Amino acid sequence: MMSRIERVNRLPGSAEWILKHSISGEIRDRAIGDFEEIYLQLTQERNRLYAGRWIWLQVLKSLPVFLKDAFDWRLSMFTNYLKMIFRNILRNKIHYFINIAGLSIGMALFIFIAAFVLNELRHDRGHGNLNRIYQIGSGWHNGTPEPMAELLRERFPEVLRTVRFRYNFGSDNYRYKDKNFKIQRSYFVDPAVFEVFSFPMVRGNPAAALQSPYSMVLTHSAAESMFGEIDPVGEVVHYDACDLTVAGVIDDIPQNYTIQFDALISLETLMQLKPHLVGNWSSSLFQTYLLLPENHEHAATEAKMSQFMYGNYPGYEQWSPSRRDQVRFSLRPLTSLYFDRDRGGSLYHGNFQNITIFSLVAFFVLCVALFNFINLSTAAALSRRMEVGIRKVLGSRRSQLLKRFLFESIFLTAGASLIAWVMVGLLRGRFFTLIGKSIDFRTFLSPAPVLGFLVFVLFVGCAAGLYPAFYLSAFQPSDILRGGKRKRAGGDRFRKVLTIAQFAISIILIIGTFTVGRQLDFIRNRDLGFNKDQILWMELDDSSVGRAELLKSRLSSEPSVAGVGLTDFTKPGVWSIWSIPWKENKVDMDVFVVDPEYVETMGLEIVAGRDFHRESDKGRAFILNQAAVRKLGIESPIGEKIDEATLVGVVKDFNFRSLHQEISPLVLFYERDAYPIVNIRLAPGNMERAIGEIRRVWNEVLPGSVFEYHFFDESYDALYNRERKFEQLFTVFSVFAVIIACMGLFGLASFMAERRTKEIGIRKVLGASGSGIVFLLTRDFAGLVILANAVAWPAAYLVMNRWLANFAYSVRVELWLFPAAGMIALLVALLTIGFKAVVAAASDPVDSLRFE
Amino acid sequence: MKLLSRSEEIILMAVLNLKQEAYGIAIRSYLTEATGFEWSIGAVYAPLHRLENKGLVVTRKGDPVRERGGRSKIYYHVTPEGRRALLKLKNINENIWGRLTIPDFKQG
Repeated sequence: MMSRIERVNRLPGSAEWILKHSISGEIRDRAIGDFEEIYLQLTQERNRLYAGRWIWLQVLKSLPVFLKDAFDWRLSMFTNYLKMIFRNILRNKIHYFINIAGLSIGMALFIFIAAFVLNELRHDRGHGNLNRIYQIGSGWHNGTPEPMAELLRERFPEVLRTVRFRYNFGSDNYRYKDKNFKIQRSYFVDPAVFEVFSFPMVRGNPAAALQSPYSMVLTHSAAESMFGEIDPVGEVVHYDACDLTVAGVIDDIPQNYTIQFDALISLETLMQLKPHLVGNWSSSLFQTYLLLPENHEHAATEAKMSQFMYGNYPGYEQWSPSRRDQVRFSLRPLTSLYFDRDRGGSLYHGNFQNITIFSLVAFFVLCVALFNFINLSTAAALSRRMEVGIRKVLGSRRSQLLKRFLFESIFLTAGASLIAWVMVGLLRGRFFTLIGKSIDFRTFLSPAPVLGFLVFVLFVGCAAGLYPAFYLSAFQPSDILRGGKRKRAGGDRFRKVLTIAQFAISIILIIGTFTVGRQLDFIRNRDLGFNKDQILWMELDDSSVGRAELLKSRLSSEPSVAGVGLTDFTKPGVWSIWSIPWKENKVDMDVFVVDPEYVETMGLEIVAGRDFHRESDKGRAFILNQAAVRKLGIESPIGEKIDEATLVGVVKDFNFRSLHQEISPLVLFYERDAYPIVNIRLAPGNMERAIGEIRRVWNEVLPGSVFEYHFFDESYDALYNRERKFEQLFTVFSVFAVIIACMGLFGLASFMAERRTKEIGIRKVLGASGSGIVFLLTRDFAGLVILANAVAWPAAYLVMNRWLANFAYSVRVELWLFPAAGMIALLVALLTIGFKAVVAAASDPVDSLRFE
Repeated sequence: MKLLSRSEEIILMAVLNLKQEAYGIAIRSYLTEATGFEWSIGAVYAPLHRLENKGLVVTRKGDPVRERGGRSKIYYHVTPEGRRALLKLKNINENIWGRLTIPDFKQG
């Protein structure tokens, strides 16, 4: 039509574009025609300029009306769509129930994980100076001596502020009036903490709060548990041998902060309790944080500072690389600490790897739900054919049908997302227990996450609806309405692929769950090489080391103490590497300097030679672990020498670090009798009483010194806590994946049974047995599940191998797990289909054939 | 039954009065003359669209016209329902005006 008649006068292009896109379909051509006609008339009567102005004025005036008109019509279209959706839901309750339930569960899991991931990624956001704070790293750990902060502040003008944290290893018992309270995590800290970090103070004056000795600041919850309604500021709390005055209360610390604590005590307090720490370079238990200027290039400062620090070590130039590594100075941005896996000394760690894994798993569970939606929507095509046919006959275009089906899936997804939010609301608490921390969902009430969620819903809706929409809208009305032969519905193959994918995902998750569980069992039950239960350790300060032997003998006579061993070795995760002269070379090995009772106290097993003798071995004997023997390549170790010392024994390898690392070669030297670390093995029995006795002895031998103790057990358990949470979450996810996949299978099976009602009827009339029919119906699906194994096994093998590579000591990916997981999936699937199949097989053929 | 809006009523009367010639531009200039102010094209078409969907007017397609970029003129005709609706409005209008007893409005 357009081509037959040449257009005489075109509207300005942009005006025409606006009109085309704002006027609703039916009246579009008419109105634009009018515009054009008047435009032409005006150009001829007046001029082009006038006509142009007139057109634009008209467009502006008409636009609101046209838009409203278009919207009104679209709205009425939508009400019609909605009506159709609700009718369909009523007609196919099971189908829609499975779709919506699956999607809701999938989305709820997704919301949880997304919230978790977002929360982790937004860690430490509350600190105003986040990008300016650096922690000093020293070798593998973050322990620094007390004077370092001041030294750096004096030497380097770019260090604006320094804050030292020193964990309070002491008792967690506090007393207010007549009541006892426990405060788990507390730090001794510099007063500048409130200038550098943002811990909003709700009561008290942050500038003055931790200036004086014996003052403390509590978090809101800690203060509430102790004081209830009373204003705590100015109250006096009795702690150990001293009285602390509460100087302020801060907001509770969000759980996605790197630095976590319940109370802060002024560092001055520690300095008064342990004056030997002042200016002491040998005890490195302080975490030092620096505040640098805005946009500061920290790498340059780091280089300058390390140069300066290394200059202080005598003979540094001659050190071996590994010994240098041990004291390597680094500035670690606060932003990087949260996910720092190995070196963090902070109590709380995020874990980047787990975040990645869970995001993937959540995505896969959602995929399983999406595939259900796609499968059931296309399988339901039979009951939809009539609607499509009639709509097409009445003049619907394919694009309109596409829109109609897409609208349906987006609408259902939106509904599912609402249900998902309800689930999230109800199950929030459980999820928080599962991940071991709580998330404040209100922090996501900003435009970006909200918009993100809406986009997500839209995306899921489209992903679920696109294929069914194309599939359904492609039906030819002539085929449908003629009614004759029912072509085998196409899309069967696609449905099969999706079902295979669903079960492959489920099987991978099942294998994953088993492997994770086995690995964690393995770690928990693995022989550490020493007995970690019931061993606690205490640290003596320099002034008390002289009395270490006295303390040891007094402790040994207590009935609740089974053994006492002294060492330089401090806590799990902190160690020291020396260069040992060996033959003509130097070999880097871990060294523990110990007393003769250490081996026995720790429960180390001697596999060759003997333990130290107190009388003859001092300074003249050493013991190796098996790894060291292997490293040095000695055939018959006993009698070998390092310098003047003789090798007297070999101990079985024991894990003095995390199982994430391999046991390294270790030398035990018996050099002196007094060491700062006192390891105590408790006799079986009442732990509280034992600690009470130890405290009493401590106070008698070292009056005025603060009693602090630690359990080996806790230190080791903390290392594996993360993995335990990981296992639980993983299990939950795979259970849900399997449930959703089976719901989909159930839906598909019922469609198939329905479609084959007549076939089953005829087969039964012709003498088919019930079991034969069950077999007929289950055969196809069982085949799919078996095929899914072929996809799942290699994938699971690769994924689990990568995960296990994180552990130095790990189980192998057990091959028998694969068929086992496959069998579980098959069994669950067969039960699901079987239920439907048995019902179909039991139906009376009379019912299905009577109406023909 | 819901009454027609004022603009729908006026436009329906315009279509009725223009008989065979009621297409967009004709209706618009008729309205401009009759009411004394200018009607935007949108203000004409939106009510027309509603009238059409209520079944009060129907359309007839004319031949393609060069001046309209090859588009056809679409002529509107009032349906019997449209006529009934107008008559009903007329009655209502007369009724309302007739009941008015304020002197200023009496002479009309």
